[in-house]
Amino acid sequence: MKRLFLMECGKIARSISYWLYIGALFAAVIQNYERTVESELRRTDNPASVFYIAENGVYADDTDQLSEDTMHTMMMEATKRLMDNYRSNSYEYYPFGYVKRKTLSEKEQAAILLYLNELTGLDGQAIIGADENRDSEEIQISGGGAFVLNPGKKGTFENGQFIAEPGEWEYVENDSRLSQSLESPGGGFEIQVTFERFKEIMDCVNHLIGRNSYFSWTMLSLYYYPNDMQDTPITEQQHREFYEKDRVTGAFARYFCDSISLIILCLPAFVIMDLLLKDKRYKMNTLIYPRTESSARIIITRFEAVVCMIMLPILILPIKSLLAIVSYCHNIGIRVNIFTFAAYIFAWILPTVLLVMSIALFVTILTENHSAVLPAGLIWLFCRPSVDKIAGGNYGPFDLIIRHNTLKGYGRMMEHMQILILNRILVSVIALLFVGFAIIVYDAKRKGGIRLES
Amino acid sequence: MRIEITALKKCYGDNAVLNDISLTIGNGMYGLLGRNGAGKTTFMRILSTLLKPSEGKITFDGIPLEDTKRIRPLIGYLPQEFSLYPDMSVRETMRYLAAMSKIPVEIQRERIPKLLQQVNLWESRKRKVRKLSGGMKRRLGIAQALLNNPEILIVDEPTAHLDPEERLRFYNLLDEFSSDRIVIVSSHIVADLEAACANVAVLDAGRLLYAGTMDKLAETARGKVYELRIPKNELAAVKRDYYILSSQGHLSDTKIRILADHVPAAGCPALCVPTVEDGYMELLRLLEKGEKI
Repeated sequence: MKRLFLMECGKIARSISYWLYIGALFAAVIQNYERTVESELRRTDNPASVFYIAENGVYADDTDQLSEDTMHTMMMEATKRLMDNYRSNSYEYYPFGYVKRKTLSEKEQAAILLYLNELTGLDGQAIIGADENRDSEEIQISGGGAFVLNPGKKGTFENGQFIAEPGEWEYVENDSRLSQSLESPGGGFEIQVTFERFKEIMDCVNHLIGRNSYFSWTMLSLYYYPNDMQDTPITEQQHREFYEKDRVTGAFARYFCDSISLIILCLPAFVIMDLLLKDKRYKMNTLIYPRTESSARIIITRFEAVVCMIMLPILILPIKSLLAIVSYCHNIGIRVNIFTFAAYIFAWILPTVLLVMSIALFVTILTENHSAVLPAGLIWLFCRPSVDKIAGGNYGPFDLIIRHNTLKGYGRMMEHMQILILNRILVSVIALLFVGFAIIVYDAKRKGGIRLES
Repeated sequence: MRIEITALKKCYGDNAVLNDISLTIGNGMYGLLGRNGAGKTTFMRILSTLLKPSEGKITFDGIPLEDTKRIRPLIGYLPQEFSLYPDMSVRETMRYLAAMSKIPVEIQRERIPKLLQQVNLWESRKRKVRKLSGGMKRRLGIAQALLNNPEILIVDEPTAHLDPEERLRFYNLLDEFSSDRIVIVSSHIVADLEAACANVAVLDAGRLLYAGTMDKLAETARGKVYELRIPKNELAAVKRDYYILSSQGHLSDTKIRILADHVPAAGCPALCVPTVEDGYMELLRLLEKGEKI
């Protein structure tokens, strides 16, 4: 059996679909996960970073209220982002749960410019130039103070080389610099509309860009309410959860699992379909069917081989970033749990992989053609949570994938742990049922109960 | 080993592909002869446990066909059409199918080299299947069918697409294996089976026309095979009146071999000793005439 298993693994490793899967996985990890890890490790002094440790022990408040400050921050940040997007004519939106970019027509760009005029009171020329005046940035904290990023040093060496050193973050409370900054946070404009009008404008902008743009109320709420998204300053509770409960790696393991969730929701189905259809393509069925090995063993061995080959890169890909995280934590004297990734991958990802592949296994054995593409596509389209739940929240017993697109939110997830465990067990049991059905159909075919292809 | 087939019938919907086949097959090479579409492949698939019969009974030394757990270890099957995984080497293919046959690794290590040597593929054991010629693939096919050292070897149209030399070599190979086991070979080419098989069954349109020895099959045409030499311009008339077995042009004359119930009037006929092919053709002729066989 071990030999058959290894030979099935060899067959999978030689298939194009498997390497396409690895390529897609690699791209998703680089784009969604590794960048975040690098960014977090680079901005450990930033109050929004999960690694941030406040020297004075002061963190952002835990609150769900939409304060004046939050509203103002939301309006300023969204307007700045709209300006940036307008200048580059490149707008972020989330049509399939992942971020994409869209270019608008001249007419639509003109409409955006009108909205920007209304929001800022600036004319077109000023809007294009407004961002260039900004020397400092700040992150507003809903407690009175703010972290201010002081301007960095700029200059030219004697040899003509230009240098630009980043400024440092400084916590400022009721300081004149802060009030000045709040009056004109962008360094070049002031919001000219009420919060209600701002929401109306954002709604119109969202319609122009498309489904779930960055300017939709769903996304603005996600990013600017005091919540678990990355751009909000870390609260004391989040800080404790990250270092004490998650022991650092837990948060990254969740984020990693989330970043590959849309890949594993679909592509493993193609890998197993490809493996099974090789028998038909190379007319191997008539050589395999009369063999003495039982149908259950053949199907289970093949299924195990695909599961192992699918899981292998998922286990290998986070190693590089894990080493970087462990190294950083070692330097600041924090011990982390290096096995958390494996635990999360097996508990979170494996059940989904099992179900996606078992459905493809059953359909492919039944039909002996590419029909499994259909359920795989339908699963990919309809079994994903809505974009407002990408930071977590799809905690139903039958949710096929769990989203948690944030390094924070340990507590929220733990509150739903029981239902999540039930969910993973249910998904795994349904997967095993499909494997059982596949064995029954395969056995019937081997015995001539279901007619072979000509 | 003895295969008993009683009143075998296989239908696809209303279409009977095999009808009322009763046969007994013992050790040695057994030929299955019939035109394309006669039902040979269906018959072989049923014997290989790949198809269920609609009616009838088949036993292998008393073991019913339905008991696949006991039957499958007895069977080696080489289908008419197969192509194998192209990326696997010859040896890998053998190992893969041996694992599918639950052959322990120690036995595989001993048996696979031996079989590959027997089929003259040992030197090519590392070669990928995609690089094998048609003949080599067939030989690999027979080697894989013998992996479990079967008591019954079922080979469906093994020499299709093979050149004459490969065909000869292939039948010699089958002959080696048939000394102490049943080898059932199907073909629509009489000459292939004539040299190799002592017994033969003739199928046509799902019906069993004949089952017995090759000699007796030839005997069915005794007294009906004539050789005549006729002028070329009479050939059309002879073709109309008789069943032509062969014709050979010689300048202005044509030498023909015919099947006839009576002595032909033309061309100084000479009665010939019938061959197996003559016997087979006589069966088909009688069938076409609607006479009872």
